[in-house]
Amino acid sequence: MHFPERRPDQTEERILPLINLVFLLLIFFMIAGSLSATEPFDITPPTSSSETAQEVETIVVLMNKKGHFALDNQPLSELDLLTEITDIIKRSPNAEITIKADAGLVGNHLVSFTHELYSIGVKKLQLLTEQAQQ
Amino acid sequence: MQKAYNQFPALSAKQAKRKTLVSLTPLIDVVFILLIFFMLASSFTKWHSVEVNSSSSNAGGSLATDLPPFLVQVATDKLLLNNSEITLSSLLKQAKVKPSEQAIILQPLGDTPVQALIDILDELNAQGIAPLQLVQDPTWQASKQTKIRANMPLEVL
Repeated sequence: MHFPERRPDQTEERILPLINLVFLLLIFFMIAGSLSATEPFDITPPTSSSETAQEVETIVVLMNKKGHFALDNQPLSELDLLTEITDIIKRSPNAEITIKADAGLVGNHLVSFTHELYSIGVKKLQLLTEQAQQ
Repeated sequence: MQKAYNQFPALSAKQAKRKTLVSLTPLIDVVFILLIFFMLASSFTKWHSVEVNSSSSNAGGSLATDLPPFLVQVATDKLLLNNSEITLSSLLKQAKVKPSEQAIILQPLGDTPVQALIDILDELNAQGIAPLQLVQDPTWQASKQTKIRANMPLEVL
């Protein structure tokens, strides 16, 4: 009759290393991973061997394969987007803009969009890329 | 406590164990759920960036206009330098010996995807070749469908 009474204690002691491990994993994922908001559409950015890290604190404009735009994860038409950016530029003239475009987007579409951004007074533009597979 | 233990060994031992050992099972459940949440929700993508210059960005700048053009046209399967086909390696060679104030004008041809453009931009950047400019293919027109779509608010994606 004493046998079943001891058993739970032993199992609890046995799973302690497991709990330790799970805690470590939890802390790892909490610290190393970064949570991000879900984007309104699927974008696979182009790969590049560029070493320049993305500058934080920039305005991110999303551009998907079909040429749809989104600002702050909010889908917008091109005209609305340009008016929004004009407002931002008026408030902070040195604002940097990051374009996150799909790798399959037509290059000319991107280029014409960058022209429009520069023409409304954007001073610095960067294109977001993923690290190329070595 | 010690005294009680001596008097009623079996019962006291049981009580002491119950007081010290809080059941770990609910804790493990919660930790597991948190772990799975963070595993699924976190991303480890490292973002990089490429700077994009268009010709209007340095309009009225110091670019000399009397220099011959250095126009590189990019398509998915070929490269054109001033309208004649060229390989990437000989393009890089020629780009290295060009006058430093002469800008390379990159132009995607037709429906060339962004990736092809970035690949060439990357190669030139890696060799430290500057300045680079992006220009639009004048013959390219956004297809009517794309244009209408891009200017319309998005209801369905």
